[in-house]
Amino acid sequence: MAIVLALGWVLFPPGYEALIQWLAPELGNYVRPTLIMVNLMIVDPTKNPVILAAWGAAGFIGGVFAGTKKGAFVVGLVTWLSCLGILAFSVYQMMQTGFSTGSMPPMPPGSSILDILSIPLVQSMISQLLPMLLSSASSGGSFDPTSLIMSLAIYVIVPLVTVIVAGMVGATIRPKEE
Amino acid sequence: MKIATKHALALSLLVFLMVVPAAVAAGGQSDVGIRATGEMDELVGTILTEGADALFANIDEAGQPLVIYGRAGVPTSVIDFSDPAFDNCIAFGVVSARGEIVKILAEQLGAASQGGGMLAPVPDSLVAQQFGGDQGFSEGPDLSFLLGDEFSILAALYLNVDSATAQQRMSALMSQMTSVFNYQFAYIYSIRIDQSTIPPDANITLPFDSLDVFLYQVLNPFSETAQSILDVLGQDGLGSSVDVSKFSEARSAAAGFLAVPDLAYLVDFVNSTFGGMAANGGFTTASAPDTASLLMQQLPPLEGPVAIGAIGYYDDQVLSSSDTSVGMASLIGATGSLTARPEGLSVVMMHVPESVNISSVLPQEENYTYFDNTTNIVVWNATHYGSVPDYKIYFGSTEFPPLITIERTFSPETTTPGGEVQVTVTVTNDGDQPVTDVAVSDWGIQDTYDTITVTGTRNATAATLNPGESVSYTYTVHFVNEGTYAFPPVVLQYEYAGRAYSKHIPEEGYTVTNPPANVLSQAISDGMPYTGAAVGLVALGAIVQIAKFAGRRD
Repeated sequence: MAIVLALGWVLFPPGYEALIQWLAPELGNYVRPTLIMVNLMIVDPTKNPVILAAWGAAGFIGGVFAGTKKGAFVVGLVTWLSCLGILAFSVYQMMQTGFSTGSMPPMPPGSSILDILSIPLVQSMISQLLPMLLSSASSGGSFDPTSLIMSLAIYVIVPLVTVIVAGMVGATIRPKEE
Repeated sequence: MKIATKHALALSLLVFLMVVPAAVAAGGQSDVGIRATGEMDELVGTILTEGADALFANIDEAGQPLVIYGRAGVPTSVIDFSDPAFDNCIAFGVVSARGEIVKILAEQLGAASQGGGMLAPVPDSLVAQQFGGDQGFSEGPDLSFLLGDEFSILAALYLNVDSATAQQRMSALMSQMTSVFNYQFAYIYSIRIDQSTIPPDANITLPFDSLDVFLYQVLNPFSETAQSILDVLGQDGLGSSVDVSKFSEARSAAAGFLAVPDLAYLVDFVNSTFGGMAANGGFTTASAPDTASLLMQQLPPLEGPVAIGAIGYYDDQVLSSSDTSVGMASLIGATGSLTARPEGLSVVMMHVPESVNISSVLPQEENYTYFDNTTNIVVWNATHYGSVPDYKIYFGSTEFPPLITIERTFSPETTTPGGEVQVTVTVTNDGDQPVTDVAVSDWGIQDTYDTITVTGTRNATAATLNPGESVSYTYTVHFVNEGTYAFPPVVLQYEYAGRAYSKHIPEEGYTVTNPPANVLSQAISDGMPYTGAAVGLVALGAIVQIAKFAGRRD
């Protein structure tokens, strides 16, 4: 888990940093850990292969340490659940501080909305949302978020599958004891 | 019929170039010292076939310049538009901005639409916001609120080509831009619009098979993108005198270009899709042609690349009570003569506040210098003048207020959550004349952020500020959270020679950093006792695993 957290901190996309600089003054110091965990836990493999590789690396090393496929599965699952716990804790702490959604601060000098649009998850969401909005607007129908929720669910499962599969690979190729 | 390199599409610049002389001509009451009698038809024809460039400078009442260099015509060969990367590309462009110029342009355009003007000084809403008016950022739709103040973006549009090919050509286009300008890109968004995008029950038929739109962020600093934009547009003519550093080092600046890789392809598409000109020059639509259509009808058959673009800046006070003239050369950082384009049209325009009594302008020849003493706009036909040392406006001394500087300092330069910063604002009269009724303030920070605590004075006044004197105030801001805090503009109001003036320094950011160790310790502290137990458990598990692993290796 330490590997995942460390890589998550180091491989933080610059767009998230701009988002933190913008929102943290009002939303508090848990914006950063929350977004780091969001970046780690909700992964569009086509837009954010780096984080996927981080999960794979962490799973592989965990699997090598675990030594067995069963152990690798447990290590992977515990790592993922621990990250989920940290995310939940960060969101809870952010909510505890209390914030007013009516007082949106201005974008900090030196940054722009383009920084935020470069965030892989934001791009994925826009790619999903825009056609849906166009479709519902032109047909006059209501907005159906099912496919968006499905995509998010897949993005959440991707790291879990990755860390477990990589862990099993690590456990398999670990030199066996004589 | 091919016109080779002799063609241009300068619609924006055309409007720019036509409006001012038209406005001058419309000012019937004014005493037009130098009359405008040029052949407008000939002028338009020259712009459309041979390209044009223009220099424009506006000096506001506080002596602060807004300078724009614009150019239209055949782009240079620095980009190879014959490259297959540009096949089916109907247009691409780069826009780059830094500082408050986007906000100023948005404010000015808003003011213009409400009967104000492009040439007004400090936006009224900004002043109202800082002096007891409505605080906050909810005053009307303000795009710059979200857009921010520093960005560079490249956009390209590909028409009627399959998705994979469009992507491939976009990649090739970016490779060329990287190779030529050392551009670094970050993907933002792309969308393909075709008939499948439109729901069948919408009953909409697109006028094209497909349109692929690509948006990329350009990560290079403004100085590099500005130079690359000038490289594309070409820097002969008046542009040869432009010092890019004058623009990139100003307190705010913007630059951009729009290129059409093949005008014939675009015109064919427009004609085939929307009607317009037929092969025989007539209109295919039954409706009566409007002015734009008539203008299009006058165009010769065109093909090949065309581009239009501009670079501009807005800066601190450059004219004061001791000045008696303003010249374009110093405003664009020129070190030698200003030389017009060898072909096409070059125009220089300057505007000073209506309150300034212009005594003379140089160079000045009948029919080639236009001057309206009501609006105080001067237009020079630089093509006629060829190469001159400068384009200058002369006036009496004390027309502008003395040089007043505003400075805001932060001490320390950065802090951590829980820390404080001391903000000191100082207004100094660096001129040679006194000013009166001085009032300076920057109230907005407390209203923008609920989480900070501000103590101390956030405004100062002085009945008179003599040359060399200063007025200042200091306040302290206590931060609980990390982030970059946008300190609102410092707004100064004063009087000089019976007139009220206003000037400001732009919004500034102050960053509160939170080191990883602080984040971790705060999380553990806030989550006690659960976080403590969790950390202990994880550490214990790790130790056991490592020990077991090491034991097996032995």
